[in-house]
Order: sequence, then structure tokens, then C-alpha cells
Amino acid sequence: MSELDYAVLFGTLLAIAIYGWWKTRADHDLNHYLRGDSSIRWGTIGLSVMATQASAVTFLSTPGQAYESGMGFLQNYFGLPFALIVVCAVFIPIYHRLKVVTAYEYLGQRFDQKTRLLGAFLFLLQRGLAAGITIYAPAIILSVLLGWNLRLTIILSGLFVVIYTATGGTSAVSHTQKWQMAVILAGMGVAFGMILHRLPPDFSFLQAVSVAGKMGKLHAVDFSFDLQRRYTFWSGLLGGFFLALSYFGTDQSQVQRYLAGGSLAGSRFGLLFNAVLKLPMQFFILLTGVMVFIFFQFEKPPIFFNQPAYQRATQTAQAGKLALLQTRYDQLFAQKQIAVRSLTSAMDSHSARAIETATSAVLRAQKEIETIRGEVKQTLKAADPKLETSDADYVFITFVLDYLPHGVIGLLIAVIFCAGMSSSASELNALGSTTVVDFYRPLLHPHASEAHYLLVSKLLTAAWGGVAISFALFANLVENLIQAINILGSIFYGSILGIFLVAFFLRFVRGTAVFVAALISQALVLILFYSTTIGYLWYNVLGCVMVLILSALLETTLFRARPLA
Amino acid sequence: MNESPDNRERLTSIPLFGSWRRAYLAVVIVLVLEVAFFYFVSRYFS
Repeated sequence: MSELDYAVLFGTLLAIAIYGWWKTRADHDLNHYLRGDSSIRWGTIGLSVMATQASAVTFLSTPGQAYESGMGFLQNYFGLPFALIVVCAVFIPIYHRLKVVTAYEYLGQRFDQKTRLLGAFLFLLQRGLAAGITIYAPAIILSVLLGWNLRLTIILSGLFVVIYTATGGTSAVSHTQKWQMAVILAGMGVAFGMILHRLPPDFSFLQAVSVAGKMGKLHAVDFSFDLQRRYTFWSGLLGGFFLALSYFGTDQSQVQRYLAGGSLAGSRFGLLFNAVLKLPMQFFILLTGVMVFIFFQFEKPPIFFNQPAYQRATQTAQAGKLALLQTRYDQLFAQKQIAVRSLTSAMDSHSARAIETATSAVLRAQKEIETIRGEVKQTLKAADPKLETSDADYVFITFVLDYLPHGVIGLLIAVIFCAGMSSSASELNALGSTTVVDFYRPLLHPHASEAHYLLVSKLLTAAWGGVAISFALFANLVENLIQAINILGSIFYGSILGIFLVAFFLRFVRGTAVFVAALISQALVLILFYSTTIGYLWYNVLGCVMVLILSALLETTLFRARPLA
Repeated sequence: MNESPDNRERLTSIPLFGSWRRAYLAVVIVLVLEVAFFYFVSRYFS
């Protein structure tokens, strides 16, 4: 990175953070701190909701996923618009009517204190861990590729968020997210344009898409009923619906975003904005990954995208084997380049037979390259058993650092940090608020002044920042960062959503029955997670359905209300 | 009729769509069109 890149990066991040601080500098009101400024409009709410969901891993991992596996991940979001409609129609009116600050307050009013605390505890547990991953994800990748000190990157990026989130609260989070999202969208647009610009001059966008399609990278919809497959139309529609319903309806980091404006219409429009734009946005990010894949059909990509790890392995006893694999890889890549050129010529000639033959040749070459890459990963593992061999998270950032001009590199690193900071800010804001509203105020200090609660809210937000930074410092790189966050969420979301759906729709069920049902369901989901290999999206459905059925059964049997004598 | 703020907002016509029900229907229609587009892209370029 050059001085220009650093100027763009720090200029962008500082300008947004200072803007957030300046907008909320005169705010000394607890209600504003927790609920936000009533002047926040639906556009800001919509962008804030979008920025909360789109974390740094969205921009690091998602293009890499498309590069490796194509567009199938898009199906993950098919249930999201339906979930947002349900949140708008059912959840939001209740939250507004009861004027709750956290979603779990509603559980206390509908059931009892222990159910409220269970919901809040499950949220704190999974979101507290996820907040650590949110900070860790960009830090590990950027530190590896740019040679930054990992611990320092984690601490600095974490502290930056903690300062403006803890001082400005919900309003600061919403106002900064609006501009962070603007930077993200602008940066991704520029990146997409640059990829197309870097394709060979005689190779059009339509040809790029056609080659990607022939190489199986555009399969965005899979109607098969295979439970073992991670992403299908059905798992996305049903599992994605439950995941999104739980995330948007019951996760305080999102609830706090759309309750920020104070108007029912503002909250609803903010969410519907996401219902319409989320899929095109994900499609665009995945398509960016596919275009990077096409770019690397003409430009030789590294044999392993985590280059520093590869270079370290070449200093070990595995160096000879790696050199042989590299030579074989270079030959195969040259063959594949010729095959891809033949395919484009065949497509230009519109001869079905020629296209079929050329496609087979390209796929064969691609398969051989994947085999070589598999052998390289095994060799790297032999050199360093602790090494994470999945390099999908390094694909997009490698392209950015190696092929984009200075200035644009700084902008895209700013995109990754903006995305990470916007998600972390929502998480810390929600963790702090939930701890104060659901634990500290009712259990420890029920009759203190507003100034006291404001101070404690700020301190607890900062403390959660400390927890997240500490967790990030001790985390290890997992299979794929975006999947790790979704898997973690899916394990807990089903039970939490079940509790809320019982509250809304099973009016005869009371606190103890739903409390016990949620505990049993959570235990069963954990057992399933450790003992089976079903796609993680299904845990959302299973956890939720188990709570609904068990709570109804328990209420009508074990905990049936006895008539007064 | 209950005149709570919630109900007042529900009764007031909303910009662009007229009612919330129509807004939700518009979202569903957009979703169907989006999925149809993705399916078309998958099939057409495969």
C-alpha cells in the first residue's frame, strides 16, 4: 500500500467517525442513547440495517465463495424478504406499542422475568462471540497480506469502533452507518468496474458471463431436496426465512436499528428497503467474485491465495514437492488459457458441437488445476499442521492488492474496515443496551437516576468492546469466516425465534412451559450440531419448531393450569 | 375504532403503495422477479 492508499483509508475512516461524534456531541439523554434520535428517517434506518448485516466478511468471503463454488450462496437469502414482511407486520407494531428498548423486554411483559433473561442471555452469548469474529475477520486477512501486526490491527480497529459507539450510542451508530454504507457501495462499484476494465480488450462482459456459465459458476438456483447440501432453493427459502426472521425480529443488534427512528412507518420502510435490495446486492457481490474468477482465467492466479503462508512453506522440507507442483500448475494453467480461448471462439461461431467440445476441455483443465491445488493444500498442511488450508477469504483481497491502482486499494481496504466497523458498532451498541436494560437495571440497580444508567450504558458498551477484542485476539481462523458467523447464529437463533413465535401466536402458553421448551430445544440443537452433518440453515427451522411444539405440549400436560378449588 | 398512534399509522395511506398490504405484495412480486432472473441467468448461460 502506498501513502495515497493510507491517506484514503484513514481519511475515510476518521471522517466518518468524527461525523458520528459531531452529530451526537450534545446528546446526554438516556432515551436517545439507547433508542436513537427520533429525527432519523427511513432511508438512514434502511442503510443502517443493511450496514449491520453486511460485515467485513461479506466483502472478503463472499467473492471468494463465488470464485470457488459459484453463485449458490445467493439462495441463503431467498427467505429473507418474507421474513422481513413478517417482522414488519407482526413484530414491529408490538415493539412500538410497548415502547421497548430491547426485544427481550417484550418477553418479560408477555411471559416472565426468567424467559426474558433466557432470551437476553442467548443473545449475549452468540452475539458476544460473533462480535469477536467481526473484529477478527478483517484483521487476520489484512495483517497476513499487508504484513501488519495482527494484535495491533485488532486492538486499533476495535478501539476505533468502541470510542464512537460508547460515546454516541444508537444515534452515532445509525448516522455513521449511513456513510459507511455509501463508501461500501461506491467501493464495490469501483471494484466491479475495474475488474471489467482489466479483462482482455477483445473479451466482452457478455463473453465473460458466458464462460462463467459454462464453467458452472452461475448456478444460483438449485431445486434439489438434498438435506446434506448447504445451499438449495428449499433450504434458502425455509431455513433462510427462519434465520432472517430470528435475526431481524429478535436480534437486538438489528431491532435497535429499526426502532431508532421512533416511527412505525420509518421502521417498516427501512426494513422493506432491505427486503427489495438485499438479493440484488448479494448477487452483485457474488458476481464480482465470479468476474475475479474470469479475470484469473487470463492472468495466472497464485497456486495458493494465502501467499505468505505458501512462501513460509517453501522454506521447509516440503519445498521440493511444492516446486514440482508449481511447475505442473504453470503448465496446466497455460493449457487452460488455450482451452478458454477456444471456448470463446466456439461461442462466437455458435456451433453447438464446438462449444460442447471446448467446454469439456475447459472443465477438464479446471478439474486438473483443482486437483493440483488440493495437493498443494495437503503439502502445506504437512509443512504446517496448524495452517488453515481454505484460502477463499484471500481471493478478492489478493486481486485488490495485486491488480488495482493505488488510491482504489485504499478505498477498498476502507470498504472492508467500514463494513467491519458498522457491524461491530451495532453489536456493541446492542450488547451494552441489553446488559443494562435486561440485567443491570431490573436485577442489580432498579431505582438509579437516568444519568447513572447513561454512564453504565457507556461503560458496558466499552466493556463489551473489550470482550470482543479479547476474543478476537485469541480466535483461530475457521473454515470460512462468513459461514462461521452464520453457523454460530443458526445454532442459537432457532430457539430464540421459537420463544418469540410462541409469545406472538400461542397465547395459551405461559412462561415456564416456553422456558423449559427452549432449554430442551437448545440442548437438542447442540447435540444435532455435534453428531450430524445436515446443512446449518436447518438448525433454525428445527430449533424454532421444537420450541413451538414442546412448549404447547408442556403447557397442556406438565404445566397445565389447575382450576382454583 | 382504537385511535392509538399505531392504528393511526396503519389507517393513514402510505406513500407510493397506498397501504402496507400493497407494499408487502410489491415486495413479494419483486422477490419472484429477482429469483426468476437468477434462474434465467443460471439456465441461459449454462
